[in-house]
Amino acid sequence: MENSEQSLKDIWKKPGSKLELSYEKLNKVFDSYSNSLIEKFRRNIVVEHYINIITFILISIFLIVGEEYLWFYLMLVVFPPFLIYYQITINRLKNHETNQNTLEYLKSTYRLFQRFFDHYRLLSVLAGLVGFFYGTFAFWSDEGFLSVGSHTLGEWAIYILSISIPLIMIFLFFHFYLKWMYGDKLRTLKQIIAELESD
Amino acid sequence: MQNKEFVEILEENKQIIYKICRAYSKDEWEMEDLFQEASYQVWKSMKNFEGRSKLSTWIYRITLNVCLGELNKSKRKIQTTQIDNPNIWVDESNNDEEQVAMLYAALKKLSKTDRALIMLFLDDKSYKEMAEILGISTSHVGVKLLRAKKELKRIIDGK
Repeated sequence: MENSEQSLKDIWKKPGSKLELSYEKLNKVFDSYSNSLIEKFRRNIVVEHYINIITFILISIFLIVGEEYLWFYLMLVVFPPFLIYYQITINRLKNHETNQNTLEYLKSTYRLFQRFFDHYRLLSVLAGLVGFFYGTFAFWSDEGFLSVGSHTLGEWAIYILSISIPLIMIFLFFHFYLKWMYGDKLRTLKQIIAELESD
Repeated sequence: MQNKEFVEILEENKQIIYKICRAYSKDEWEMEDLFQEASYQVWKSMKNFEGRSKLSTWIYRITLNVCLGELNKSKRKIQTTQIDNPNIWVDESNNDEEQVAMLYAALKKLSKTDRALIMLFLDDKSYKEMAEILGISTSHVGVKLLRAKKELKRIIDGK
């Protein structure tokens, strides 16, 4: 047993004994950026963050010019927490360190994956809610927003279905798309963590 | 940290990175991706190295984390390397490559955690170092390593 272990060690020490780094290519490492999935998530969310900021500014200008001050104040209340949430998410992804021990690293990677999933689930729900309230406002605004009692049950049913079906579809799309893209990865991570933690 | 200084560190530890990346990659492309990502992560994390463990142990940990965290990439993702030559390294040694390839083939049949333990063992890491890298207790290392060795022996013997 001892001998076979030693011979395996000897073989293990052989590869790349004259290994030479290609410095020309290695230099590109300094100019590149990480291609880890977590870093990709971060970059995606940074892009979304910038789009949100630009949208916020444009809508604010639009509302001020249109003298829609009530909506503008509503924007001022709703948007900053949204932007803060984005910043916190970006920071968490950015602070993901690879020099932790393996178990901690894999656990934090798993948590960040889940956070990324939750982020898009939350976005799909928010998009649905915005659509719902905007649709409701547009649907009844001509007759007065609060005069909903004058509508029949059938009209209500059609309205609710027309809002809820796209909402469910958006939610399912994000859910299955993320599962398709990263489901295997998440399962593998979970399995390695379980293996490391088992007795 | 200066690039030159980093290159020296990488030069000293390139074999550690190379071997771990090879053990966790399906092909040369993936191996190079992992090698580059591990090199990048070592470079990025250098400022956090406090010297509480050996530098080689610390690099081992980062490389292992990259390989386990970035498993099974479906396509090539590194944009920094030209497509006509996939190798970041030039391996001049072809001697005993068959034996080496057989060892890697056996390693790849192990579970990912067993593979990590066996590699640490083959690199003569102490139980304490293994525990430090993996984040498990030394007693756990002992139990798991024994099991992994048995599994490796079973694979090599073809049982």
